[in-house]
Formats: sequence, structure tokens, C-alpha cells
Amino acid sequence: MLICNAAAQALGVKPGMRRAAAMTLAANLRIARRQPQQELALLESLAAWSLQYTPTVCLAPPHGLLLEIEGCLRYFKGLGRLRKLIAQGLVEHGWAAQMAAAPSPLAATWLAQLRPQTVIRSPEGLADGLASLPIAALPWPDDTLRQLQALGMRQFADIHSLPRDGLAHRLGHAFPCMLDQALGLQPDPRDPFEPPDRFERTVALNWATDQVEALGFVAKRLFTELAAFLMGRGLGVQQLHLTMQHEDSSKTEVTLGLGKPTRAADAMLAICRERLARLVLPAPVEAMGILADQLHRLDGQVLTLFGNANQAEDFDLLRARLMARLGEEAVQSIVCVADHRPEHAWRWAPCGSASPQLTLGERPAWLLPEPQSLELRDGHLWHGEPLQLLTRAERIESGWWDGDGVTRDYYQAQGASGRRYWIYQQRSTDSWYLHGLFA
Amino acid sequence: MKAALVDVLKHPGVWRGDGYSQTVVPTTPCGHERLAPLLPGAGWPLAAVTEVIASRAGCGELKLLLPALARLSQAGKQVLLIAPPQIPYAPAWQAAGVDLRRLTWVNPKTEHDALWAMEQSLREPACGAVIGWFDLALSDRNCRRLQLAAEQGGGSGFVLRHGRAENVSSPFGLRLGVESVAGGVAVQVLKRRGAAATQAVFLPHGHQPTPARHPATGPTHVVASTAPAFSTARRTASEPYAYAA
Repeated sequence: MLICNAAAQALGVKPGMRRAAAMTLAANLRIARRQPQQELALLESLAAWSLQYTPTVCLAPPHGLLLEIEGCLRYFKGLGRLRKLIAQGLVEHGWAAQMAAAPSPLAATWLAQLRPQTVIRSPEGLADGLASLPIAALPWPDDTLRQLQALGMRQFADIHSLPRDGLAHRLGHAFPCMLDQALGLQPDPRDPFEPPDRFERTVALNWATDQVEALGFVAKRLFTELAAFLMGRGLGVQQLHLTMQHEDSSKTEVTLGLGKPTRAADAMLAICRERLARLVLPAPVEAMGILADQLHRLDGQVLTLFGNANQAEDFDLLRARLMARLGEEAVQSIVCVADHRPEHAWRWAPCGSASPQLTLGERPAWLLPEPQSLELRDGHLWHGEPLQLLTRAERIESGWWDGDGVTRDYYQAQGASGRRYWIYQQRSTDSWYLHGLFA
Repeated sequence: MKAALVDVLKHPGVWRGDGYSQTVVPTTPCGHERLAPLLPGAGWPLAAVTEVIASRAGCGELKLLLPALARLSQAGKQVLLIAPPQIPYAPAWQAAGVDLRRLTWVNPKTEHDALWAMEQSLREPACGAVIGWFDLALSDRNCRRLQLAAEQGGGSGFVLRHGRAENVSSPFGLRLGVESVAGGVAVQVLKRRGAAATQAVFLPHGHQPTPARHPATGPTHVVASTAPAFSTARRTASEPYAYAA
């Protein structure tokens, strides 16, 4: 047992117990296995997140992060404020953390574990600050701890007062060296954390589900982590790949377009919800993954001006939401095309495309998808009412080269009701068609 | 003292018996000189949904809206068309002054999706105008949802319905009926804040071509100009259009 909840403790289960002993005490105990891979991934995502506070972050596995903050204290207006900011950020993302600050990395690690909230500002204060630490609880090798205990050492101060030569003789040369590193007497170089250029996380669900709401919660967690990662890097993401792993080892993959680079978890979630609602899952999902491989710079952009994110003008996000629910082909823009044939003079285009300026005669605002055949009644053209031609013919003869040629005479016509139509006469057959409505 | 009285009279809650009161509502210019005096605030209301009823597609409903859409799109606002009845013909919209880069055509498959898209778009402050085409059956609840969304986003919403205006009611604050007549479009304000407007407004086509072939044999249409304004009338039920057939 590594850790157990209050209910388990009430039954007598304690950390450090063996599995069999715990099961004897509490028959219905649910035991979850540690997932070192997940823990490391989480630690790395937290490291990426903490890059927003300092450029130098080191991993201290299995569960420690070292932030070098001396150089950033001025920027964050003091240690107190910086600690508060970090603590708040951690709480917002749902993590609990123990923090301590000290001039040497080892001392900071030990203090965070054993005396959280301790702050030691100067290297001279280190010896005093560490003096009262119980040796038995320090993360040292078991052999070392046993030997020290045999020597009657209880507190850190006890070792500190011993001659280094004797310690090196009994416990190996590395031990006094480590003590000096903790006390800031020797350098303790660490490899800084290099954030990856992509974000990839997979969460295994405790129960397989096909409920979209449940998937939404998982997605929210993933997006929050992604947002934290992007925040630390000063980056945004425009496209996300969502992978849902099914029980039968098949996968459903979904690509989310966000319309513009962003790192707002809320916006991603809103788009994702619409997309998931449209999704038909072939089988229950047992793991959900997210991949963001193309990251964009987002520095220097004002994300929210006065804190009210609802009022921000984010048309791109709206468009992405519409596309997620209605399909990409249902949300488009239109542009003019320099072609004389009316049905070729426009086309669908991605939103925001530039359009050439056309100089044409008067054109109707509504175009029929297919020209509609007109009949003649008593010598008059008829479309629910008699039509009367208003203009001279506008002859359009074009397109012979691509097999879709037209030879037509276009007229504006007006019905008895005053409604105006755009009609044409096919010159090859002399038959009449309705092609547009002046609205 | 006098200025204070003017302020009081401008309050939307004060109704004046001598006709339509000058209410202070935020608007965007409608681009029609003749129509503006009839609209509260002399333009299309912002943060509200306006209903336009045409007997069918191509009755002049776009002539009514295009000047405002052109102005909004040129000012950098987005214009969304949701479920239009026909293809919005790009050359004509461009010629009307609409910046096509800011025009988005949304084509939902169902009416439910169309309502959703309209509501989402109205919520977005970047959208200057959102125009949705719906069947006559738009429930009061849906109307109110759209209205609330428009209040949140601050843009102008337009609901276009095809059919007879007299048969349906809706909770929208401004309702207009559009009908094509010879040489132009007749617009009737069916409902507005303040006193009812009884007269139809005639918006002529910019350049009226003369008949060339197949000379007119059908009846000519004349737009009767004004019906006397009923000063105390506060009706929402409209009369048929005031032009003779």
C-alpha cells in the first residue's frame, strides 16, 4: 500500500502494508495499481505548464519538480506572490502540491517532502533549516539509512556535526558529497526539462462507455492539461486529433479544427462537444487520447482584454463550432469567378477567400440551382403568372472549350405581381428557362 | 426643464397619443430613406431579432436588407445566411456592395440545426447580421431563444418567413411584410414599438428597365400612397397591403 483513503484507514489499512494484509482487513478494498508511465507523463505536463513561471525547470522523479525562481522573483514581484500564483494555478488544474523554497535543489526537495511551506532565502541558513529533519524520512538508500540508524543518528544536525572523512569511510564517497550539495557547498548541476514540440496524452477510462457526456468530461480533463502545456510554452493550437480506443482494439479518430490558434480549454471543449454529439460510436470507448502536433506561436496576443471571455469577438471559434456540428461542407463562403456563364460565375470557397471584382450586367440575388423550364400560355411566358420582358437580350455564349458551352439570351422579366425574374432563351432550341430571382 | 421633458418622452415606456414615439433603441442604418422614419430608432434594431415576412422567395426581401448587409460587411462585421432558400448569387451580392469575405453561407440539414446555428451566431458579437430562413412554424419558445441570443451578442437578427403575414403572430418586437409590386417593393411595418404604422412604404427599383418585347397585357399596378394614420390606434393586427390590384 502506498496511500489509502479515510475509509480504508478506518478499517486499519495503513500505507506500507502488504496487499494480502490489507485485503484481510478490508475484504472489499479496491486496489488501484500505480502507473509509472502516466505519472511521468503527468509530471512532464506539469513541467511544461510551470515553464510560464521560469525558463529553467528540472524533473525530480518520481514526483518532484524543481523550478529555479531566483531570476524571476523581480518579474513576479516577490517570492510570496509567485508562490501564491503557482499554488493557485495548481489548484485550478486540480492538483495538490507541497512546495518549499531553498537555495539548493536537494534541500528544496527534502523540505517540500518533510516540511512543506518552508522558505530558506540564503545559503547560510541552509544548515539551520535542515537541522531538524528526521533522517529516517529522507529519501536516501535503505543501506545508508540503516547504517546511520545503527550509529544513533536521528536528525540531520547529528550527521552535519560529524567529520566528513569518517562518513566517507563508512558510507562511501558519494554521501558526504551529497550532503555538501544539499548545503550549497558543492555545485549540483541538473538537466533542465526540454518541453516536447507536440502534446500527446491518453487517458484510460475506468469503465468503457459510449456516453457522449462521459467522454466530454474526459475530453475536458485532456484539454485542461493541453491548455496548461500551451500556456507554459506560449503556444496555441489550431488542430487537434482525438483518438478513441474501443474495446475491440479498433479506433475512432476525430480531427477538430479550432478555426484559429488558441489555448482556451473552454473553446476546445465547446467545439469538441458539438463534434462528439454528431459522432456515432461503433463500440464503447475505453481510452481517449489527444494529439496536438502543430503548435503555433500565440505570444503577444491579447486573449481577453477585460477578463470577460464571453464578449471576445471570436468569429473563427464560432465557425469552428458550426463546422463541428453541421459538417465542414455546410459552412462556407462564396466567391465570384471570372466566367461569363452564370452558373460558373460563383463557387463555394473556404471562409474568408478573396473574390475577384466582376463587371457584369444586373444579376439576380437568388440563383436557382437548376434552370427551371418555362411554359408558354396564350403566347406569353408563364411562371405562375404571365411574364413580361423588361430588358433587351444579354447574349451569353461561352464555354465551348470545356464541353459545357452555353448559347443563351438572358432577359429580365416581370410578373403580374411585380416580382422580377431572370430568364433565358436557349438559342439552340428556343425554349425558355427561369434561372434567377431578383429579390 | 424642456430638455428633461424631451428625455422623458424618449423613454420607450412612454407612449404618445400623437403617433409613433421616437424611442431610443440602438440601431444600425437600414439604408432606405423612405423606410427609416417608420422604424423605431430609424434603422434595424441591434441586439434584437426582426421578422420579415414575404409571400415567397424573391419578393424584394433582399432589396430590403442588402444595403444594411453591405454596410455591415464593409465595416468588418460578419454576415451569416442560414438556410437560404436559393443560391445567394455571388456576383449580385458583390455588386450590391457586400464584402464576400465576410459573408458566410450556413446550410444546415434540418430546421433544428438551423435554429441552433442561428442562436449560436446571434450570441457572437463579431456577427453584424444573422439572417435565417424558416418555415412558418417557429414556436414562441424558439423565437424567444433567438431574441435572448441576439441580446447577448448585440448584432441584428433577421428571421425570414414565407407565407401570409396575417395568419401568424410572433413575439419579435419589429415585424415587416414585404411584397413585390410593379417597379419596386412595398414594405409594411406590421408591428413595432409605439403606435402602429398603417401605411406601406414603396421602395422603387434603382433603375427600372422599360419593357422591350412582349408588351404588357396584364393589369397595371398602382401603389396607393398613404392611408390616414390612426393616431390612437395601437393595433398589431395589420390590414392587407394598401395598394390596389
